[in-house]
Amino acid sequence: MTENNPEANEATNKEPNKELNKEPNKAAGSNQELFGDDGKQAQSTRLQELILYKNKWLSLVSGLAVGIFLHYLLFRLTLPTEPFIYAAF
Amino acid sequence: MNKEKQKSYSRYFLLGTALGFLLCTLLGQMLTASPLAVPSFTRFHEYINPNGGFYLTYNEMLAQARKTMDEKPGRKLLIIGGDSVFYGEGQSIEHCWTIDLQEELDKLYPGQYAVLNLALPGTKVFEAGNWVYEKLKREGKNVLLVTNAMPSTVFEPSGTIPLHYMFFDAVERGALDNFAERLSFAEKHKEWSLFQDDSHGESLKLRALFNHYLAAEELWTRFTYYVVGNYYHRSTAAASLLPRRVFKDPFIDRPTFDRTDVEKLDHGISQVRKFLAGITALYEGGKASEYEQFFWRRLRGCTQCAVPASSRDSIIVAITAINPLFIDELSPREKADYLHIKKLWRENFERCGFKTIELNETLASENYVDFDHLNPAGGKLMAKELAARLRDKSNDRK
Repeated sequence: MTENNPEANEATNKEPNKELNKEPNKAAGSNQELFGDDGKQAQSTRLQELILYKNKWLSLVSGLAVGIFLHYLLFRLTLPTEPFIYAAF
Repeated sequence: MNKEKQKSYSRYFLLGTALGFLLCTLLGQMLTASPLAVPSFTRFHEYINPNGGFYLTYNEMLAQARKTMDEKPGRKLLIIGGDSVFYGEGQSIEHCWTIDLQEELDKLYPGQYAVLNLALPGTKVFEAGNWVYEKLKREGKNVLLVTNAMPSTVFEPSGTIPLHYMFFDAVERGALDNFAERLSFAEKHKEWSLFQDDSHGESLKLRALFNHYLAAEELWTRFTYYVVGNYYHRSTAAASLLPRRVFKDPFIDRPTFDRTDVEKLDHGISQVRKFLAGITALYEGGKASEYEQFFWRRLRGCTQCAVPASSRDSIIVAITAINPLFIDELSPREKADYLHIKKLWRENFERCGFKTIELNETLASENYVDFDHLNPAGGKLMAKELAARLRDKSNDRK
């Protein structure tokens, strides 16, 4: 029965391939789902949370650091580019 | 939804930036009145002055003066201004001549004077010390300025490099008299000014404005002093990241000038000759008096515009002598010219209303480490002489 059913044959042919495709993923890393559709989204969300705009505290602290740096920059830019060299005789 | 979140957290970033800048500004403003915590302050040594890449602010100097007055209440603050001779180049910090001066004054006039050395190498007669003096004088404080001017010093009423920035800082903060002749000197007297490029003054004004309202220099110079060095300078070299507070005064007691060092001797003599030629070579015929010559007209103009008349009565300009070894090497004619010019130099300050004294005239060449700087023994003698001369000047006033 199955031999005469092309769909069933296709299905049975696909199964081993799926398994084969899964194997390398398993071998490469533990978080298989990260690389799946759902996994990609989860990874992206985590990254977004990590970097600036998804984590308000990190955003605030990063901004704070930039503000301090800008203030420092104001000081550095006012210093003479060429040092004064006092030549004592 | 995501976009909304994104937008909202960007706001946090901007808020943080504004907050960081504001906090720095507030902290800087809070620190403006505090002096650098230099242990047993003697002078602004190499690592905390512009020669060492540390651009101390006007407020830091002023705060040091206030601290000295607080530590010695009831005494007249004697500010030592001027250049490296008064700074004490040639003497280590332990043997700096101003320590001897304080001792001499305490012996002669117990409890009357508190000495503060605000002289810096490369600074001219009416610069840093004078600006601090002027502010305190305006406040009615009991203060006296003794500053030095060797007859070769070309100065500018608004100061010169490396401390030119400090003048604009003081003006911006309203610490100095609104003396129009001084403020407009560079514009009105282009032929006399050392700063022909207007943008130089403009950029320093802008710098002072930023420092006044945003306090960037106030905060970060203190950060550099207390916390961590944050820029490279040739004086600190590989140790540039260390805070300046860990650096000690690097000056040592230098040995007496070696009279067999022909190269240095010749160099010094040629300096004197160049200086003389720089004045007399420009002389033009047909002038009613020598004072009408360019050099003396410029000197008088600069002197008149450097200090408001109301502040001149408590300033003593000291004309310090150079190593007699160098003078002895001049021809009799050159020597006579030098002495004549020195006399005119001193007269210039007197004609402008300043008290003057000649210092170190009796010192021997053994008291010098080079052309004009003194060794510790020379410094002691200068201190003794100045202390005694202060009595004369006090009597003058009576």
